[in-house]
Order: sequence, then C-alpha cells, then structure tokens
Amino acid sequence: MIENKRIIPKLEIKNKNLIKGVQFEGLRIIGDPVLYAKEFFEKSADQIIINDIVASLYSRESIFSTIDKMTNDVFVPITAGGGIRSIDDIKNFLEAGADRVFLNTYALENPEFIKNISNLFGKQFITISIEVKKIKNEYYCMKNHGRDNSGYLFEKWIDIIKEYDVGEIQILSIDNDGMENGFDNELLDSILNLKINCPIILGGGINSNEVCHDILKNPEISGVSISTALYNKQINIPKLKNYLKKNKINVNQI
Amino acid sequence: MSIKYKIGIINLGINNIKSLKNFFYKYGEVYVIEKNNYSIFKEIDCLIIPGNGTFHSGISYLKNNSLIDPIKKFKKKIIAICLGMQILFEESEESPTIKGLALIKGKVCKINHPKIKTPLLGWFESNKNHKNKKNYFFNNSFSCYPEDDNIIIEKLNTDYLEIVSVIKFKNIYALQFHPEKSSSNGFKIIDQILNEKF
Repeated sequence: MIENKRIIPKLEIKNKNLIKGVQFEGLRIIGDPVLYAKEFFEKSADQIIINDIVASLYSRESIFSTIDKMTNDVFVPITAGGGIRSIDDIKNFLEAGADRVFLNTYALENPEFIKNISNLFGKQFITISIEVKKIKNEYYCMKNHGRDNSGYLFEKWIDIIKEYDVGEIQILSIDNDGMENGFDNELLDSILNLKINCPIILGGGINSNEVCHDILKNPEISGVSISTALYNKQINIPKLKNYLKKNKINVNQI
Repeated sequence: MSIKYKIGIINLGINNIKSLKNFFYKYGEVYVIEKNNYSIFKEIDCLIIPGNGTFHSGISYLKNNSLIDPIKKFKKKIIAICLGMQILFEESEESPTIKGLALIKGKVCKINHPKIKTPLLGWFESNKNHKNKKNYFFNNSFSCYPEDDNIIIEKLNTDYLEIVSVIKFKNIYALQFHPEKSSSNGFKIIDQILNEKF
C-alpha cells in the first residue's frame, strides 16, 4: 500500500502568539498562529499540530479561540494538545475544532488514562508525544514542556505505550529543537530498532529537504513535524514535497 | 456555489463537530442535531452522520437520544463519515455485542495485516476502477465489508487487503475517510455527491 509521508507544521502557542524556542526555552514571538496555519494549509501541509505550551499556567480560553478561528480556513486535520489532564479537556479541544489530541505529561504520570481515552474515542484518536532529552548518555522522557525529567528511559516508555496500543507516536528531540542542526541520528537509529507498529512522526532540528528525506525513507516513519525551518523559510512545503517525490518518496500533492 | 443546501449534522457526542460545521457551511445552512427533533429532519436536504469514537459509543449515543428511528426513516441524502459509515452496518468486531443500524448488510472488521500499520492514519490513495486516483485523509482501525460488492464505489489502493473507502447504497453515500479534512479533494467529492454528479 502506498503511504504518503506527512509534512506537519508544529505550532507552539503561548497565549495568542505563535512562539518558538531553542531546546524548548528562550521563547521568541513569531506571529499570529491563525495566519500561519492558514498559510501552511494553503501550501499543502498534511496536518497541523497545535501545542498549547503554557496550558497549566494560564487559562485555556485563548487556545480554544485560536483553534476555533483556525478551523474556518484549515481543512486538514488539527492535532492539539498541551496540558490535557481529563476527558473534559479533550472534549473542549474537540469542540474548539481539533480533530485529534496528543498527550505527554499526563500519560507519563497516569498511563491508565490512555486506556480510558481509547475506550471512549478509539485508539486512532490519540497521539502520544514524547519529548526526549539525552542525560548522562541515556535518552529520557521529559514532561511539562521539557522542564522535568519523568524518570522514564525512552525505551522503557515505548515498551509501556506498545501495551496500550496507541494511535500514533510523536517523538521530539529536545536537544536538537530549534538548533537547526538536523535530527538526532542516534535517536533515529534507536527508534528504528524498537519495532513500533503504529505511525511514528519525528521532530526536533529538522531543517532541510535532505534531512526530511533521510528520515522519511525509513518505512517505519510516517511523517515529520517541523517548526523553526518553516518560519525562517529554510523549508518550503511544496518544494520539499517535489524534492521527496523526485527521490521516490510518496507525498500527497494537491 | 450556486445552490444552497440545508444540511443536518448528527452530533454523536464525541466529534470534531466544529470542523465539520465549518466545512459544510460552504454548502449552505448547517444544523447540528443533538437529539430527535422531527421538524429538523423534515427540513434538511442532507443528513451527515459523522463519527469519531468507537462503534459502541456511537450506537449508544444514537440510542440514548432517540436518533436511530429518524435516521432509518430519512429518505433524502445521507452522507456517513468514518465511524458514521461503520455504524450503518449490522455488526463490528470493535464491539461484538452491539448491533449496528443494519441499513447496509455486512460487517465491520479490524484491519489486520502485517504490512499495514494501524490505525490507518494519514493520506492514502483511493481509486475508482483504477482511474481518478485521489488522496484522502483516513484515520481508522476498522474497515467495512458489505455483503454486496456492487455497492462499493472506491477502494484503497492496496495489494494486501481490501479496504473499502466509498459506498453508495440507495440514498446513502458512505465515506471511510474524512472529506472535511481532505483539503480540496474533500470538497470535490462532497460537491459531486450534493450535485448529483456522483
């Protein structure tokens, strides 16, 4: 079966602003997320990820109104998350216009919650997002937008998630985030060895057509999530898709 | 678009109802149907049965809100999307003890093949007689198998396993993918269905 590899802009949002950090810190304002989402949709993005990065600190209302506005113009799936801790949080994201949700911190603290969502919404509805950081030569899963170490080794957490049978896994390299130095190849190798049998998307440091190609040529990987390289125009989605197509990687071109 | 339609969307409780509304606004007036309300069923030209969720959650929601009967009696166009398509069948491996609406004969089975990652998530090519190949956005772990092959209009382009993507049966147009999330290809297929060019 032909799988079209997905190119996914990942928008981090603080209050009403699209922001971008380096290694999840030192946030800089980029602009209006609604306008960026519309532009990426028009440039044939396959999906859009919205991450409310201050969810636990401020009121939720601004992220819901941002997603609500986005869905007027964006007709590809929106996966939203950031600070989800209850079924009601998920329903609120859906009502605002999200199509799927991702979980990070709360899943690490309470893996049974994954099962509750699966029973209600179906497993295809959930993405588990994993924020990975190398500490003393080992990859750990971080929580609270990279601030705290969950104590889980990356491979251990993947084993647990496999049991819960989730719909998709997003793996983000914190060390490479915003560094524009490509994806962490050692991390990529370790992911490929883990025999994960659900769609996987990767992000963190992806900064060129060549880097996307080297990731997406692996049948195990379904997509890439990109932020900084889209804002500073190092990657242009239609050009990236042409490049991938020329190099025998299937993509959805509209 | 010249003709405007009156479109009713069933709210199955767990939906991306907002994005469906915004998509169908392009075709006319949109009413969200939360519980049985005969006056709305009489007014609309087209009924949308969407769905995120499980077979069990979808059927229970319809039951609890007395929506099964009005759906069965609705004779104008029905567009069923994803789980909305699956619950029209008699049964599903997802919830073996629950009966479906049985508007279409056949059953819903888990997608199970070593070469296919599940859920089927992303943009896949669907085709009509190996022509008119188009990519649509899919997000499902189960697939519909109607008894009557003749009602299958499009399938996924796969050698491993038959996965049905479009069915037309009587007044029902059933889509396994999400037209509301399939960009311009989603608008095209809904245009064709509403304008009798299907």
